[in-house]
Amino acid sequence: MAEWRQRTHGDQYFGNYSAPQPDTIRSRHSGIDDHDSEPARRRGIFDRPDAHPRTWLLLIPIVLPLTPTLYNRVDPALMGIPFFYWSQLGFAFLASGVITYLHRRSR
Amino acid sequence: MDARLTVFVVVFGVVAILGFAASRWRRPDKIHSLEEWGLGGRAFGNWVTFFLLSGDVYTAYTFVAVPTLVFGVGASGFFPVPFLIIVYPMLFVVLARFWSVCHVHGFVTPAEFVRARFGSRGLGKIVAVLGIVATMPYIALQLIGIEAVFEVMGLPKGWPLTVAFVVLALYTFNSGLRAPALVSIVKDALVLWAVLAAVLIVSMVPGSWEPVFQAAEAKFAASARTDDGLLLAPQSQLNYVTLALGSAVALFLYPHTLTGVLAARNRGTLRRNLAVLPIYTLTLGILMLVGFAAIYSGTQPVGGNGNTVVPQWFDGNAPAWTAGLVFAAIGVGAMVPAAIMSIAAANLFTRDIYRQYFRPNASDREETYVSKTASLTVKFGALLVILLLNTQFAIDLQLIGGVVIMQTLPAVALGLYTSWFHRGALVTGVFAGLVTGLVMLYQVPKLGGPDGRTVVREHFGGSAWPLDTIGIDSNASIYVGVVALAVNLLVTVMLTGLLRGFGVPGGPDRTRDQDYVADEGDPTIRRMTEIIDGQPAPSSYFEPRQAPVTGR
Repeated sequence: MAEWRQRTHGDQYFGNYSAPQPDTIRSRHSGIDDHDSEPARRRGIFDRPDAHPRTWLLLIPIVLPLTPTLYNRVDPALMGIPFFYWSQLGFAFLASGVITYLHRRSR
Repeated sequence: MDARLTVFVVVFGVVAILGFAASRWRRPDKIHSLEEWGLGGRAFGNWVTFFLLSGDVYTAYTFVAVPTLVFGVGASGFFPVPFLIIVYPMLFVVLARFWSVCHVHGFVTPAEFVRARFGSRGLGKIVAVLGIVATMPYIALQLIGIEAVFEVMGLPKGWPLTVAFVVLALYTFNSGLRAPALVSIVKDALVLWAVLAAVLIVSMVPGSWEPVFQAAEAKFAASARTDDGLLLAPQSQLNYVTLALGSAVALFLYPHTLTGVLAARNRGTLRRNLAVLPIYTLTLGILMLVGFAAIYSGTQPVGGNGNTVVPQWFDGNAPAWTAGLVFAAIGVGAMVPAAIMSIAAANLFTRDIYRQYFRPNASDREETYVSKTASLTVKFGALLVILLLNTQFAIDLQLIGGVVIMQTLPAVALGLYTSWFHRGALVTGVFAGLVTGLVMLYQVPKLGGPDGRTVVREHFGGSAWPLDTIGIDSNASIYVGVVALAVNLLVTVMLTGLLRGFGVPGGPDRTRDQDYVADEGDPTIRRMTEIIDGQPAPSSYFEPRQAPVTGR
């Protein structure tokens, strides 16, 4: 413990910081690339290991609740509750459903 | 003593005992470390994480203030429902990555992540300071929630609030994040009962919800205001959408949300919780409909304090003991987020200010002690604001806080995906966003009066910025935070392009791509635990990934 602290505290930017494997620390934009030893790895925003086209499904429960023109109406009412209110509450099930689906598929 | 007060006091007693007992709950050998006190050992399973996050997000202030909005203006006060639905799909994308990188590197705060990602101590400090500034008024708001309940019960202003808060401060000091996690179980049970009671009470109205909405429609039709009604007025739609979007962005960036997230034991726990939490929004939605029920029942707020509408409605329509339980739900619902927020602010102070600038070699024990003291200070600061200054001041500060915290989006949220941004550009972007936000908030007048168009106060009157301020011919308004964030992003992107183009060196990125997808049981995380604790982690910490994870 103490030894680790002594090793790292001299670094003025990362006083309490310890990189798990110091030899792979890199700076992507300073031209230093030390990943040569590793097999071709996925990089970049759209080419991450955790990226999948399915993830775009999440846009549905994000965009729908943000489109009031679709639900800014009274009819059809449900048990006397105007459409505006019950449809927005219904989006909760939509969001839950999409997230559950993605979670199950990603395991 | 009347039944309401008895029930309230009994529940509060139970909560206080639970809060203190929490320090013995799954007690590790080393309680004196920030990972234990401030993150509950990073070992919360599905259920505990659910209670922690729901206690964190659905605060007492939300439960009293939002139905009040609906009571006053109708549809445009309903924005928290879309906000608290869209936030979960948004979080689903970013939270797992945030959890992983923080676990691999042992980060406790978002500011630590930013410091490592963009190689900038200054940027880390800015994120930490903005986090603390935005969180403090949020804690004060929770006190307003409790105060509303005390007002309905006829308690005096001052000492009851102080007593409640001292108890909260002491058990948070003692038990850390474990206390709100346990107490939140009580809170959720009480909230569920409140919702059930509300539904039952309205069901007993002849005709159920129909006359309730008819009464509301009649009220809004009779008022001189043009921005109220059962549906959104055309000019209210832009503000409705931007407010929902902006609030969702801000929620992810608030330090207390991230503290709750980091306490989860693995990525699966988080994702399962994100799948369930939208359903919890229904409880808030139903309590918001109570705003309409209050119009139907002719509920009058106590002493002109609008926040008393919900407690007052339950007081007038439910049996005394249920009213007591609902009051307790609001009271406990204020304690849980207040505790988590104070812990989050304290962790930011300890890890990103104290340790960076005062004592880089602070031991674990010292670090924990500093954090505990900071959490006390933050809470008493909030108490003093409420007791000495007026509550409107806290509400105004919270409004600014939301705009402030949104400015950390490029560094904290987009930083999870790319280290392309230049640290200099990020800092400039944050300041550009802050200046834009503050100027716009300054320009918003507070409107009031019977028609809602009389200027009550010239400046800092809300977050809805009228488009005609700069001569756009429209009576619509837009949420300030979204505009400020857009300016921030624009500056950050353009300046990064410039700096990168001229070859100005950025800070070194100390994270690696695989850090963002690491999960419990991953060798890099095992390594981190060994580094942090100085000893091999208990084997229970590394169950096979396929094993069913239960919240013990």
